[in-house]
Amino acid sequence: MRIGVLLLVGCVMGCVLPLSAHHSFAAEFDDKQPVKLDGTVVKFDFMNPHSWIYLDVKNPDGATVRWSVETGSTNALFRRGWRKESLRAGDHITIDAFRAKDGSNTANASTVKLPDGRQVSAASSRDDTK
Amino acid sequence: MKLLVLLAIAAVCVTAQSAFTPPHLPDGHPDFGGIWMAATLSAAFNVEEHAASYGTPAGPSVIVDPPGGKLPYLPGMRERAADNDQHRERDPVGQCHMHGVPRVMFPPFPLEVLQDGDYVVILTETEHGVRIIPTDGRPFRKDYSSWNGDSRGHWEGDRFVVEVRGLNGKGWLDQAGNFVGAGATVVERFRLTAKDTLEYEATVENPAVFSRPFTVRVPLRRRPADVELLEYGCIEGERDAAHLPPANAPVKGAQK
Repeated sequence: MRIGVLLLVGCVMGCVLPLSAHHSFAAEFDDKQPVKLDGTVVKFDFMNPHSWIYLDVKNPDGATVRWSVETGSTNALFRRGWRKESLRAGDHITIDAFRAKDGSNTANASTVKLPDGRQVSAASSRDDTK
Repeated sequence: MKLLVLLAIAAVCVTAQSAFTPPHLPDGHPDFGGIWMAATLSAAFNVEEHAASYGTPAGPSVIVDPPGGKLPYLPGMRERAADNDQHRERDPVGQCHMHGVPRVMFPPFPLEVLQDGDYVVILTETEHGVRIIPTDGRPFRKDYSSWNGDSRGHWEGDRFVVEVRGLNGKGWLDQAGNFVGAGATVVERFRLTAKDTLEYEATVENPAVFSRPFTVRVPLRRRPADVELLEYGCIEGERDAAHLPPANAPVKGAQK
């Protein structure tokens, strides 16, 4: 129910390149490397200038890899109904994101599929005008 | 015939706009108070007209002078901006520095305008920026330098005019690497063109970088009454640095 307060917009306008309000997306992330991360939330840091989702993802070979996934600012998320309790350790979620250019397990989220199945904005799209 | 109708409608619109009378405070000045934000994020991406590119949606130029909408860079300076564009990790804002004037007026975050008799204050959510603009005619500070500089304001009818000096010359104009340099001065003009539209213009003069002054114009839109400024601590969640190329690498042709 904690996610019931989320009034979020999914990819209804068509998925767009992520834009961080704080820094240029292009400085760090690669739009040629989209990645879908399906895993378990380890931690959700709800803060500025970016919130971060730490996610354990199981690779096909069975190994578990921890990803750091950047979203928009807490302020942008908050204005869309996100709260610090919106994600909790143990939640199973799926994130559509773009990998960092440096090849690390870091990515910039565009949408997050919540445990109840809703796909919501990570507040890092170019439509971030709230 | 259709053209005539369209022209007539356009004429009515222009007349209606110019006839707009802003609400005034008891001191006789227009009431700019409220929460505002750039009506478009295009200028935050790139103040010049730009096609869609890696990480950037297409958008029009916000440069209204010179005609043509291009920044009047001196020889060699456009190349420096293009080099910045290839090294966006140098963007001061990405490193949690202040936006600088005029960029601070059109980020993708709201700002609040407060007025009293001797000051106009602009609070920007991003970086917790505070621009305190005296209107009592006091002189500029001597030997002062900062990201947003030193502002002094005065009223010209219903237009608020701000002169900005003391800019540190490190600021970018947008995320695309357009920049101002040492010695830049800015004249800003604010006016209400409709109840919920605050027109912002900034004329930048910077002979070290540009061959002539240029002016940007960005409409600010009033945000709904339930929008409030929020805290924006820029350090706590800034975890990008480890994934960026070395910042501030030497720039060919950069000013010393």
